[in-house]
Amino acid sequence: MDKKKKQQHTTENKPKQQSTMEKKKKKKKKQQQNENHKSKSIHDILPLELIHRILLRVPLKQLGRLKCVSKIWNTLISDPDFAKSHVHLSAASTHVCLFIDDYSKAFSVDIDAVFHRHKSSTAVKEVSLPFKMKTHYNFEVMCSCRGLVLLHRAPHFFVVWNPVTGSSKRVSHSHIFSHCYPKWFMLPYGAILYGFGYNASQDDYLVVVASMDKNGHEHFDCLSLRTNSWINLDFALSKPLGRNNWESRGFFLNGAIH
Amino acid sequence: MGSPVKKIMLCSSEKEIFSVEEQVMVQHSVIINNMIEDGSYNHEESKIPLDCVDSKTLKKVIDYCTHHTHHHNDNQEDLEAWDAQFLNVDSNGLYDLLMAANYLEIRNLLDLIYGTIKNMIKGKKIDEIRRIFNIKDHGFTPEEEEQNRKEYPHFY
Repeated sequence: MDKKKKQQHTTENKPKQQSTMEKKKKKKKKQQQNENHKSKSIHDILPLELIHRILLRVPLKQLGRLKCVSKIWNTLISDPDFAKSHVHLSAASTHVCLFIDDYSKAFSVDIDAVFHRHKSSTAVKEVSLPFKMKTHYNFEVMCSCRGLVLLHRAPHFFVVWNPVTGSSKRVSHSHIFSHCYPKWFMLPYGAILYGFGYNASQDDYLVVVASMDKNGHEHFDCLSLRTNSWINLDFALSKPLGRNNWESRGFFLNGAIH
Repeated sequence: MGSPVKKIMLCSSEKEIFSVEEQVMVQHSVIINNMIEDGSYNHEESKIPLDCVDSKTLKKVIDYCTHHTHHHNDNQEDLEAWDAQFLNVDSNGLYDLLMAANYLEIRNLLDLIYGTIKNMIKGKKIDEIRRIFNIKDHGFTPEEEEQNRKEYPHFY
Protein backbone atom coordinates (compact mmCIF):
# COMPACT_ATOMS: atom_id res chain seq x y z
CA MET A 1 0.00 0.00 0.00
CA ASP A 2 2.80 2.32 1.00
CA LYS A 3 4.69 1.49 -2.13
CA LYS A 4 1.71 2.36 -4.27
CA LYS A 5 1.34 5.72 -2.61
CA LYS A 6 4.98 6.42 -3.13
CA GLN A 7 4.73 5.56 -6.78
CA GLN A 8 1.74 7.83 -7.25
CA HIS A 9 3.60 10.56 -5.57
CA THR A 10 6.69 10.29 -7.72
CA THR A 11 4.75 9.93 -10.95
CA GLU A 12 2.79 13.06 -10.21
CA ASN A 13 6.01 14.94 -9.86
CA LYS A 14 7.58 13.51 -12.94
CA PRO A 15 5.19 13.45 -15.84
CA LYS A 16 7.81 12.04 -18.20
CA GLN A 17 8.24 8.99 -16.10
CA GLN A 18 4.52 8.64 -15.87
CA SER A 19 4.14 8.30 -19.58
CA THR A 20 6.79 5.59 -19.81
CA MET A 21 5.18 3.82 -16.94
CA GLU A 22 1.82 3.95 -18.61
CA LYS A 23 3.36 2.61 -21.74
CA LYS A 24 4.87 -0.21 -19.76
CA LYS A 25 1.53 -0.87 -18.16
CA LYS A 26 -0.16 -0.93 -21.52
CA LYS A 27 2.49 -3.24 -22.87
CA LYS A 28 2.06 -5.51 -19.87
CA LYS A 29 -1.69 -5.52 -20.33
CA LYS A 30 -1.27 -6.43 -23.94
CA GLN A 31 1.10 -9.20 -23.04
CA GLN A 32 -1.33 -10.49 -20.49
CA GLN A 33 -4.10 -10.45 -23.05
CA ASN A 34 -1.90 -12.36 -25.44
CA GLU A 35 -1.04 -14.88 -22.79
CA ASN A 36 -4.67 -15.29 -21.85
CA HIS A 37 -5.52 -15.87 -25.43
CA LYS A 38 -2.62 -18.21 -25.97
CA SER A 39 -2.85 -20.35 -22.88
CA LYS A 40 -6.34 -21.69 -22.99
CA SER A 41 -7.59 -24.17 -20.45
CA ILE A 42 -6.76 -27.84 -20.97
CA HIS A 43 -10.50 -28.40 -21.34
CA ASP A 44 -10.70 -26.05 -24.32
CA ILE A 45 -7.82 -27.70 -26.12
CA LEU A 46 -7.74 -31.40 -25.48
CA PRO A 47 -10.65 -33.64 -26.39
CA LEU A 48 -12.24 -35.40 -23.42
CA GLU A 49 -10.94 -38.72 -24.65
CA LEU A 50 -7.34 -37.59 -24.18
CA ILE A 51 -8.00 -36.07 -20.74
CA HIS A 52 -9.59 -39.39 -19.85
CA ARG A 53 -6.45 -41.23 -20.94
CA ILE A 54 -4.22 -38.87 -18.96
CA LEU A 55 -6.29 -39.49 -15.83
CA LEU A 56 -6.11 -43.23 -16.37
CA ARG A 57 -2.35 -43.02 -15.95
CA VAL A 58 -2.52 -41.21 -12.64
CA PRO A 59 -1.87 -43.46 -9.64
CA LEU A 60 -4.90 -44.39 -7.60
CA LYS A 61 -3.50 -42.51 -4.64
CA GLN A 62 -3.99 -39.15 -6.37
CA LEU A 63 -7.33 -39.75 -8.06
CA GLY A 64 -9.39 -38.69 -5.04
CA ARG A 65 -7.78 -35.30 -5.10
CA LEU A 66 -8.14 -34.92 -8.88
CA LYS A 67 -11.89 -35.35 -8.55
CA CYS A 68 -11.98 -31.90 -6.97
CA VAL A 69 -10.01 -30.18 -9.75
CA SER A 70 -12.98 -29.68 -12.02
CA LYS A 71 -16.44 -30.97 -12.68
CA ILE A 72 -15.25 -32.55 -15.92
CA TRP A 73 -12.45 -34.47 -14.21
CA ASN A 74 -14.86 -35.46 -11.46
CA THR A 75 -17.34 -36.87 -13.97
CA LEU A 76 -14.59 -38.74 -15.83
CA ILE A 77 -13.09 -40.26 -12.69
CA SER A 78 -16.43 -41.09 -11.07
CA ASP A 79 -17.59 -43.09 -14.06
CA PRO A 80 -17.75 -46.78 -13.04
CA ASP A 81 -16.01 -47.74 -16.27
CA PHE A 82 -13.12 -45.50 -15.32
CA ALA A 83 -12.35 -47.53 -12.20
CA LYS A 84 -12.46 -50.69 -14.25
CA SER A 85 -10.10 -49.37 -16.91
CA HIS A 86 -7.84 -47.89 -14.25
CA VAL A 87 -7.48 -51.17 -12.40
CA HIS A 88 -6.92 -52.90 -15.71
CA LEU A 89 -4.24 -50.48 -16.82
CA SER A 90 -2.41 -50.23 -13.53
CA ALA A 91 -2.58 -53.96 -12.88
CA ALA A 92 -1.20 -54.56 -16.34
CA SER A 93 1.58 -52.05 -16.05
CA THR A 94 2.99 -53.02 -12.68
CA HIS A 95 3.79 -56.30 -11.06
CA VAL A 96 4.16 -55.80 -7.37
CA CYS A 97 4.51 -58.45 -4.70
CA LEU A 98 3.88 -57.86 -1.05
CA PHE A 99 6.05 -59.53 1.56
CA ILE A 100 5.34 -59.52 5.25
CA ASP A 101 8.35 -60.04 7.39
CA ASP A 102 8.02 -61.41 10.87
CA TYR A 103 4.54 -59.94 11.26
CA SER A 104 6.02 -56.56 11.94
CA LYS A 105 7.17 -55.17 8.60
CA ALA A 106 5.74 -55.23 5.11
CA PHE A 107 7.62 -54.64 1.90
CA SER A 108 6.35 -54.13 -1.61
CA VAL A 109 8.63 -55.44 -4.30
CA ASP A 110 8.25 -54.14 -7.82
CA ILE A 111 9.15 -57.16 -9.91
CA ASP A 112 9.65 -55.11 -13.09
CA ALA A 113 12.08 -52.76 -11.36
CA VAL A 114 14.12 -55.65 -9.99
CA PHE A 115 15.09 -56.55 -13.53
CA HIS A 116 15.55 -52.95 -14.64
CA ARG A 117 19.14 -51.80 -14.35
CA HIS A 118 18.43 -48.23 -13.32
CA LYS A 119 15.49 -48.86 -11.08
CA SER A 120 16.57 -51.91 -9.11
CA SER A 121 17.50 -49.76 -6.13
CA THR A 122 13.92 -48.52 -5.84
CA ALA A 123 12.34 -51.93 -6.29
CA VAL A 124 11.84 -52.69 -2.61
CA LYS A 125 9.84 -50.27 -0.50
CA GLU A 126 8.70 -50.64 3.04
CA VAL A 127 4.99 -50.10 3.49
CA SER A 128 3.45 -49.47 6.86
CA LEU A 129 0.95 -51.97 8.14
CA PRO A 130 -2.54 -50.69 8.91
CA PHE A 131 -2.23 -51.09 12.66
CA LYS A 132 -1.62 -48.40 15.19
CA MET A 133 0.19 -50.63 17.65
CA LYS A 134 3.83 -51.37 17.04
CA THR A 135 3.39 -55.02 17.83
CA HIS A 136 1.46 -56.42 14.95
CA TYR A 137 1.74 -60.03 15.84
CA ASN A 138 -1.94 -60.81 16.01
CA PHE A 139 -2.80 -60.76 12.37
CA GLU A 140 -2.96 -63.11 9.43
CA VAL A 141 -2.89 -62.37 5.74
CA MET A 142 -5.90 -64.08 4.25
CA CYS A 143 -5.97 -63.22 0.58
CA SER A 144 -5.83 -60.38 -1.90
CA CYS A 145 -7.99 -59.08 -4.69
CA ARG A 146 -7.35 -56.28 -7.18
CA GLY A 147 -4.72 -54.61 -5.08
CA LEU A 148 -6.56 -54.93 -1.78
CA VAL A 149 -5.33 -57.29 0.90
CA LEU A 150 -7.64 -58.99 3.37
CA LEU A 151 -6.11 -59.33 6.79
CA HIS A 152 -7.50 -60.98 9.85
CA ARG A 153 -6.89 -59.24 13.12
CA ALA A 154 -7.47 -61.07 16.38
CA PRO A 155 -9.82 -61.45 18.06
CA HIS A 156 -12.55 -60.88 15.50
CA PHE A 157 -11.84 -58.26 12.88
CA PHE A 158 -11.27 -58.24 9.19
CA VAL A 159 -9.04 -55.49 7.91
CA VAL A 160 -9.20 -54.64 4.24
CA TRP A 161 -6.02 -52.86 3.35
CA ASN A 162 -4.75 -51.04 0.30
CA PRO A 163 -0.95 -51.16 0.69
CA VAL A 164 -0.45 -48.50 -1.97
CA THR A 165 -2.63 -45.80 -0.51
CA GLY A 166 -2.23 -47.03 3.05
CA SER A 167 -5.97 -46.81 3.62
CA SER A 168 -7.73 -49.57 5.49
CA LYS A 169 -11.10 -50.53 6.81
CA ARG A 170 -11.88 -52.64 9.86
CA VAL A 171 -15.00 -54.76 10.09
CA SER A 172 -16.00 -56.94 12.98
CA HIS A 173 -17.13 -60.51 12.41
CA SER A 174 -17.96 -61.21 16.04
CA HIS A 175 -21.39 -62.59 15.16
CA ILE A 176 -19.76 -65.48 13.30
CA PHE A 177 -17.36 -65.91 16.13
CA SER A 178 -20.18 -66.12 18.64
CA HIS A 179 -22.04 -68.98 17.04
CA CYS A 180 -18.94 -71.10 16.54
CA TYR A 181 -16.95 -73.14 18.93
CA PRO A 182 -15.22 -70.29 20.66
CA LYS A 183 -12.30 -72.42 21.60
CA TRP A 184 -11.15 -73.40 18.19
CA PHE A 185 -12.84 -70.89 15.97
CA MET A 186 -10.14 -68.54 15.02
CA LEU A 187 -9.95 -67.21 11.53
CA PRO A 188 -8.43 -68.03 9.17
CA TYR A 189 -7.93 -71.58 10.38
CA GLY A 190 -11.35 -72.06 11.89
CA ALA A 191 -13.38 -71.36 8.79
CA ILE A 192 -14.44 -74.11 6.45
CA LEU A 193 -13.56 -71.82 3.62
CA TYR A 194 -13.31 -68.15 2.91
CA GLY A 195 -12.70 -65.86 0.01
CA PHE A 196 -12.36 -62.26 -1.05
CA GLY A 197 -13.65 -61.12 -4.39
CA TYR A 198 -14.83 -58.23 -6.49
CA ASN A 199 -18.32 -57.90 -7.88
CA ALA A 200 -17.98 -55.72 -10.95
CA SER A 201 -21.72 -55.27 -11.52
CA GLN A 202 -22.13 -53.63 -8.11
CA ASP A 203 -18.59 -52.28 -7.86
CA ASP A 204 -18.39 -54.00 -4.52
CA TYR A 205 -15.82 -56.10 -2.70
CA LEU A 206 -17.13 -59.14 -0.91
CA VAL A 207 -15.72 -61.34 1.80
CA VAL A 208 -17.36 -64.75 2.14
CA VAL A 209 -16.91 -67.02 5.11
CA ALA A 210 -18.29 -70.50 5.60
CA SER A 211 -18.19 -71.74 9.17
CA MET A 212 -19.63 -74.44 11.36
CA ASP A 213 -21.37 -73.87 14.67
CA LYS A 214 -21.12 -76.04 17.76
CA ASN A 215 -24.17 -78.07 16.73
CA GLY A 216 -22.50 -78.99 13.47
CA HIS A 217 -24.63 -76.64 11.37
CA GLU A 218 -22.89 -74.84 8.59
CA HIS A 219 -23.22 -71.13 8.08
CA PHE A 220 -22.40 -69.00 5.16
CA ASP A 221 -21.89 -65.26 5.58
CA CYS A 222 -21.03 -62.57 3.13
CA LEU A 223 -19.65 -59.12 3.91
CA SER A 224 -20.30 -56.33 1.46
CA LEU A 225 -17.68 -53.62 1.79
CA ARG A 226 -19.81 -51.18 -0.13
CA THR A 227 -22.64 -51.30 2.34
CA ASN A 228 -20.40 -52.37 5.20
CA SER A 229 -22.85 -55.03 6.24
CA TRP A 230 -23.00 -58.77 6.69
CA ILE A 231 -25.54 -60.82 4.84
CA ASN A 232 -26.40 -64.31 5.99
CA LEU A 233 -26.52 -66.71 3.10
CA ASP A 234 -27.27 -69.95 4.94
CA PHE A 235 -30.16 -70.57 2.59
CA ALA A 236 -27.72 -70.64 -0.31
CA LEU A 237 -26.03 -73.71 1.07
CA SER A 238 -27.88 -76.42 -0.78
CA LYS A 239 -25.68 -79.24 0.40
CA PRO A 240 -23.25 -79.50 3.27
CA LEU A 241 -19.80 -78.25 2.52
CA GLY A 242 -18.28 -80.76 4.86
CA ARG A 243 -14.97 -80.57 6.56
CA ASN A 244 -13.21 -82.10 3.60
CA ASN A 245 -12.79 -78.65 2.14
CA TRP A 246 -9.94 -77.86 4.47
CA GLU A 247 -7.56 -77.59 1.59
CA SER A 248 -9.54 -74.93 -0.21
CA ARG A 249 -9.04 -72.26 2.40
CA GLY A 250 -8.03 -68.98 0.93
CA PHE A 251 -8.77 -68.54 -2.71
CA PHE A 252 -8.74 -65.27 -4.50
CA LEU A 253 -10.43 -63.92 -7.53
CA ASN A 254 -8.73 -61.75 -10.05
CA GLY A 255 -6.04 -61.10 -7.48
CA ALA A 256 -3.54 -58.36 -8.16
CA ILE A 257 -1.57 -55.90 -6.17
CA HIS A 258 -1.23 -52.59 -7.93
CA MET B 1 26.11 -45.44 -54.36
CA GLY B 2 23.33 -47.35 -52.64
CA SER B 3 19.71 -46.87 -53.53
CA PRO B 4 18.41 -43.45 -52.44
CA VAL B 5 16.61 -43.31 -49.13
CA LYS B 6 12.87 -43.60 -49.69
CA LYS B 7 11.06 -40.47 -48.62
CA ILE B 8 7.46 -39.63 -47.95
CA MET B 9 5.73 -36.24 -47.91
CA LEU B 10 3.78 -34.97 -44.94
CA CYS B 11 1.65 -31.87 -45.26
CA SER B 12 0.93 -29.72 -42.22
CA SER B 13 -2.24 -27.72 -41.54
CA GLU B 14 -0.49 -24.66 -43.03
CA LYS B 15 0.06 -26.72 -46.21
CA GLU B 16 3.78 -26.79 -45.61
CA ILE B 17 5.38 -29.94 -46.97
CA PHE B 18 7.89 -31.99 -45.01
CA SER B 19 9.92 -34.69 -46.65
CA VAL B 20 10.84 -37.49 -44.24
CA GLU B 21 12.57 -40.84 -44.52
CA GLU B 22 9.84 -43.38 -44.97
CA GLN B 23 11.48 -45.81 -42.57
CA VAL B 24 11.45 -43.23 -39.77
CA MET B 25 7.70 -42.66 -39.93
CA VAL B 26 6.80 -46.28 -40.66
CA GLN B 27 8.67 -47.41 -37.59
CA HIS B 28 6.93 -45.00 -35.26
CA SER B 29 3.51 -44.13 -36.62
CA VAL B 30 0.94 -46.90 -36.78
CA ILE B 31 -1.20 -44.83 -39.15
CA ILE B 32 1.58 -44.14 -41.64
CA ASN B 33 2.77 -47.73 -41.42
CA ASN B 34 -0.74 -48.87 -42.36
CA MET B 35 -0.96 -46.40 -45.24
CA ILE B 36 2.32 -47.60 -46.70
CA GLU B 37 1.51 -51.25 -46.14
CA ASP B 38 -1.92 -51.19 -47.74
CA GLY B 39 -0.58 -49.25 -50.71
CA SER B 40 -2.76 -46.19 -50.21
CA TYR B 41 0.35 -44.00 -50.37
CA ASN B 42 1.72 -43.41 -53.85
CA HIS B 43 5.36 -42.36 -53.72
CA GLU B 44 5.12 -40.50 -57.01
CA GLU B 45 2.36 -38.11 -56.13
CA SER B 46 0.89 -38.63 -52.66
CA LYS B 47 1.23 -36.26 -49.75
CA ILE B 48 -0.14 -37.26 -46.40
CA PRO B 49 -2.38 -34.42 -45.28
CA LEU B 50 -2.22 -33.79 -41.56
CA ASP B 51 -4.84 -31.07 -41.29
CA CYS B 52 -4.88 -31.03 -37.51
CA VAL B 53 -1.11 -30.78 -37.05
CA ASP B 54 0.59 -27.41 -37.47
CA SER B 55 4.08 -27.02 -38.94
CA LYS B 56 5.79 -26.33 -35.63
CA THR B 57 4.34 -29.45 -34.05
CA LEU B 58 4.90 -31.61 -37.11
CA LYS B 59 8.55 -30.59 -37.17
CA LYS B 60 8.92 -31.67 -33.56
CA VAL B 61 7.17 -34.97 -34.19
CA ILE B 62 9.49 -35.66 -37.11
CA ASP B 63 12.48 -34.74 -34.92
CA TYR B 64 11.35 -37.21 -32.31
CA CYS B 65 10.83 -40.06 -34.75
CA THR B 66 14.12 -39.35 -36.53
CA HIS B 67 16.12 -39.24 -33.33
CA HIS B 68 14.58 -42.40 -31.96
CA THR B 69 15.17 -44.22 -35.25
CA HIS B 70 18.82 -43.29 -35.53
CA HIS B 71 19.73 -43.36 -31.86
CA HIS B 72 17.77 -46.34 -30.61
CA ASN B 73 21.02 -48.02 -29.66
CA ASP B 74 22.09 -45.16 -27.41
CA ASN B 75 22.10 -45.90 -23.74
CA GLN B 76 18.89 -45.40 -21.84
CA GLU B 77 20.13 -42.41 -19.88
CA ASP B 78 21.10 -40.45 -23.00
CA LEU B 79 17.76 -41.18 -24.60
CA GLU B 80 15.89 -40.11 -21.48
CA ALA B 81 17.89 -36.90 -21.30
CA TRP B 82 17.12 -36.21 -24.96
CA ASP B 83 13.40 -36.89 -24.35
CA ALA B 84 13.35 -34.55 -21.37
CA GLN B 85 14.94 -31.80 -23.45
CA PHE B 86 12.55 -32.54 -26.31
CA LEU B 87 9.49 -32.11 -24.06
CA ASN B 88 10.77 -28.91 -22.53
CA VAL B 89 7.89 -26.95 -24.11
CA ASP B 90 5.01 -24.88 -22.73
CA SER B 91 1.76 -26.61 -21.91
CA ASN B 92 0.17 -25.64 -25.24
CA GLY B 93 3.11 -27.13 -27.08
CA LEU B 94 2.65 -30.27 -25.04
CA TYR B 95 -1.07 -30.50 -25.85
CA ASP B 96 -0.32 -30.00 -29.55
CA LEU B 97 2.26 -32.77 -29.44
CA LEU B 98 -0.14 -35.03 -27.59
CA MET B 99 -2.86 -34.51 -30.18
CA ALA B 100 -0.42 -35.06 -33.05
CA ALA B 101 1.03 -38.21 -31.47
CA ASN B 102 -2.50 -39.44 -30.85
CA TYR B 103 -3.57 -38.71 -34.43
CA LEU B 104 -0.52 -40.41 -35.93
CA GLU B 105 -0.56 -43.16 -33.27
CA ILE B 106 3.05 -42.81 -32.21
CA ARG B 107 2.90 -45.00 -29.15
CA ASN B 108 6.25 -44.32 -27.53
CA LEU B 109 5.76 -40.57 -27.91
CA LEU B 110 2.28 -40.90 -26.41
CA ASP B 111 3.68 -42.80 -23.44
CA LEU B 112 6.34 -40.15 -23.01
CA ILE B 113 3.80 -37.30 -23.02
CA TYR B 114 1.34 -39.07 -20.74
CA GLY B 115 4.21 -39.75 -18.35
CA THR B 116 5.23 -36.10 -18.41
CA ILE B 117 1.72 -34.87 -17.71
CA LYS B 118 1.37 -37.44 -14.96
CA ASN B 119 4.50 -36.03 -13.34
CA MET B 120 3.13 -32.50 -13.68
CA ILE B 121 0.17 -33.56 -11.53
CA LYS B 122 2.14 -35.67 -9.05
CA GLY B 123 2.04 -34.37 -5.50
CA LYS B 124 0.43 -31.07 -6.48
CA LYS B 125 -2.36 -29.32 -4.65
CA ILE B 126 -5.59 -28.64 -6.49
CA ASP B 127 -4.97 -24.91 -6.85
CA GLU B 128 -1.59 -25.67 -8.40
CA ILE B 129 -3.06 -28.23 -10.79
CA ARG B 130 -5.70 -25.72 -11.86
CA ARG B 131 -2.99 -23.20 -12.55
CA ILE B 132 -0.83 -25.66 -14.49
CA PHE B 133 -3.72 -26.63 -16.76
CA ASN B 134 -5.15 -23.14 -16.77
CA ILE B 135 -8.50 -24.34 -15.48
CA LYS B 136 -10.32 -21.14 -14.55
CA ASP B 137 -13.82 -22.45 -14.82
CA HIS B 138 -13.83 -25.62 -12.75
CA GLY B 139 -17.56 -26.08 -13.25
CA PHE B 140 -18.46 -26.68 -9.61
CA THR B 141 -21.16 -24.56 -8.06
CA PRO B 142 -19.86 -22.27 -5.29
CA GLU B 143 -21.60 -24.55 -2.78
CA GLU B 144 -19.94 -27.69 -4.16
CA GLU B 145 -16.55 -25.99 -4.20
CA GLU B 146 -16.98 -24.83 -0.63
CA GLN B 147 -18.10 -28.28 0.42
CA ASN B 148 -15.03 -29.88 -1.20
CA ARG B 149 -12.70 -27.36 0.40
CA LYS B 150 -14.26 -28.02 3.77
CA GLU B 151 -14.18 -31.77 3.39
CA TYR B 152 -10.66 -32.07 1.99
CA PRO B 153 -8.72 -29.00 3.13
CA HIS B 154 -5.40 -30.84 2.63
CA PHE B 155 -6.13 -31.18 -1.11
CA TYR B 156 -6.02 -27.42 -1.65
